[in-house]
Amino acid sequence: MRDVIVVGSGGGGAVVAKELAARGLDVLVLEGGPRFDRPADDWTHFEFDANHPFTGFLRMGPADRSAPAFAREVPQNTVILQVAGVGGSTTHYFGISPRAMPGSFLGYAGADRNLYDTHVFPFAYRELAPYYEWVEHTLPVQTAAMGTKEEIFLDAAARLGLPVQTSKDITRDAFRPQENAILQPRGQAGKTTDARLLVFPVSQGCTFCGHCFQGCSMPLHAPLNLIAKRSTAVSYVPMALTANAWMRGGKAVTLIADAFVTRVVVDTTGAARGVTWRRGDGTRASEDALVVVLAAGAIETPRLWLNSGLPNPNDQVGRGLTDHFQDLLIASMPFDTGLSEGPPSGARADFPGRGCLSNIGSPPAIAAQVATLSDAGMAGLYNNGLPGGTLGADTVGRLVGRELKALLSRLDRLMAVAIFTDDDVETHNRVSLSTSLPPDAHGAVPRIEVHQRQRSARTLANREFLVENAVRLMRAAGALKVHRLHWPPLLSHVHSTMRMGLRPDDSVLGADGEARWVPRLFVADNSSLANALGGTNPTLTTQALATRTAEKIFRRYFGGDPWVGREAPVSSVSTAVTAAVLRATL
Amino acid sequence: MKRERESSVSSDALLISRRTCLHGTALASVAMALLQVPSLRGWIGAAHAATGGVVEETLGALASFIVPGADPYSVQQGVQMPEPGGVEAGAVQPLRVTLDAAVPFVPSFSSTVAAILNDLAAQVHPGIAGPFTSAFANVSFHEKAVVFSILESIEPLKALAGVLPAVTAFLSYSEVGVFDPATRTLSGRPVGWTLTGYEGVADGRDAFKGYFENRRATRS
Repeated sequence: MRDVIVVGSGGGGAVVAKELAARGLDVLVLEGGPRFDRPADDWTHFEFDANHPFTGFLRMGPADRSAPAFAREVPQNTVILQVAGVGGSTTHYFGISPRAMPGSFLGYAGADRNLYDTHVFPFAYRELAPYYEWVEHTLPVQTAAMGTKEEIFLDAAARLGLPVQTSKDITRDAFRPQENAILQPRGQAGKTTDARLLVFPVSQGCTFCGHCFQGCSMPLHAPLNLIAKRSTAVSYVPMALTANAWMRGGKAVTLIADAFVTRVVVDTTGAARGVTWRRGDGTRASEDALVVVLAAGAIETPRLWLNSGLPNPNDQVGRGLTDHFQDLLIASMPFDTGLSEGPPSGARADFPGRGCLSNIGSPPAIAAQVATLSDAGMAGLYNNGLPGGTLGADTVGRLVGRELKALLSRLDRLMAVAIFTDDDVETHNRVSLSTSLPPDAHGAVPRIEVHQRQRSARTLANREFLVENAVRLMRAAGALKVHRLHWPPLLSHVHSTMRMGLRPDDSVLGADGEARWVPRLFVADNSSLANALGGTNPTLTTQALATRTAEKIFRRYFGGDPWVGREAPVSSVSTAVTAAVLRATL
Repeated sequence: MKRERESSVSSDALLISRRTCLHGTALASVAMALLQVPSLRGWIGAAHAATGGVVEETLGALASFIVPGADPYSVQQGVQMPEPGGVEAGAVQPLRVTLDAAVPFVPSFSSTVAAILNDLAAQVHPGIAGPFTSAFANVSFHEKAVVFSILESIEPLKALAGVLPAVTAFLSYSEVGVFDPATRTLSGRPVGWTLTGYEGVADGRDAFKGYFENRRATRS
């Protein structure tokens, strides 16, 4: 009998595991994908090797790359960007770590309070603030270093008259450098292409290689916990695996990869009692625990719930999916932008109640892929009657043929701005079980429905507002030609499918992250978020919430005391953790 | 509850081997629609008749549509460019492999895709003749765009119209044509890198420009 079983080792699960391991609990972590122990050896920077949706090493699939990827039914034009494996989707994420908009929380009294989704978090923003600080110190989150593309974005935002946001809390329409979970460059990092100098400790932190989306393994020869981009695979997971070494009374977690949980087991009272999982070799295993935490992601967590036959009396499990209704604008510029260099995004503008803009960079294949995604037809050839205008852009829709080649002909003279809409929780956007595709070895497969053209009026207006402002910003930067892709659902931010909420009739989780109808069962991934956070990137908030959930578990079921605000957090890059990681030869 | 779920799975789906159906994407959903919607089933049958050469031509014509070059398909469509395109980048065979891998429960899904594109191309330009067996490879660039517009108007196939250009573009600009999966190294410079002026992968770059207003930290 374990104290706690955590299902999933991504952005949220690894946080719960580390926090409870530090309290001395016996924690088992089960990860459905592979374990990436030696990223510098196991990974390459090649986009085909890393990002091919079916065979790339960063895919939603089992450890055996010759085996097919995991099954999903997606009944509309949609791209899903998720990764199975230790670290989950933080292995390919951009490290962008803003706090949520305060208006997404209970009791917000700002003048703009009527602009937000009414599905607020069931507690006040100020209650989450100390958990943000704890995670920001642990990862750590740092102010982004600039490359050329950041200089261009930030200068253009200033020309538009936007003020600079100088606090981590978002307080007004403003721009700023990103707060990123990426170590700032030190030594030769960011200053050289000389391979002899791009090794630890001559180079430390971000080397500006531009390969965040292919998985960060830089600088070479760095201890695992000192790799620049702070995926949980190099931050929280190493801390969880060495908790006995850096924390007095801590107990190292047990981590099993390639272990896909297929069922949550409940006892005669209906409380969670353990889980059953399937190994990569097809064998099955079970363990019991006092508490089970689901953190398999906003698609797999509701799938697991439904496949386990757990209660769903208000039919809200899987419903209310939010995805930031993303869009992308790409502009050709008359000067170098360094699009392919450095972290993908180091600059942003926030519009509370509306959403956010982020600058984006990319190597060529992903740039080509995102420039050919659209729900609005082919630019200059046909459109699909999709609502939404040019809003100052020169074209709308995917680019093909000469237009595509012309756009991409000078990759490092492009500017790209991503739109992250504060989209509403809507019940028809959902994860359910497929009745069309047959079950796979893990049970009925998930069906992901996003009704792109039936979004709420507020969501639609927010997206158009952001596109219009992105075009203005790109023009202010000197854009020669601006293309609006008018993306279909691109699910890189997937949240709120197991949302916590104020009311039992429209939410799955209570305010502490515990399932309303299954005692001892908690959820701690993006699915637990109450809403779209105002449009901000979700990982940091999920991690702050997961820290809070870990405390709730420890207090309620293990009689412990809270620690956030009472103790000093240990940084994942501290000397103590580095020594523990090296001793454990992680 | 388990019995209810299973009973609601269509008979067609049950015909599909659970062992082989381990993969699902928008393309898998398209394939299920082709199997389940009577008016669309003809394309599955047509795919059986498609020879490997026709599939190769069709996917080559698709690659030249998205990323034209100097290849014969680009010439035929009337939009050609002196620098290499998707065909020269080596995207065609990987595209076929990708489509087949995406929908393993349909024998050769790439053949089904080819059948769809060729049938629609023949509708757009009845009686089209040309150097290729594939109708899609014989029509013009603008007629190919019409094919896609029709594809997007057929609700169950919208996802196909969405995925095909993106996958083709990704492969065309990726390293696939020169990537050795055994050694995970490149045998030459990828076409996509040349087309974009990309310097190539690197462990680091000389690109750090400092901090905005020299601020290295942000207060809470």
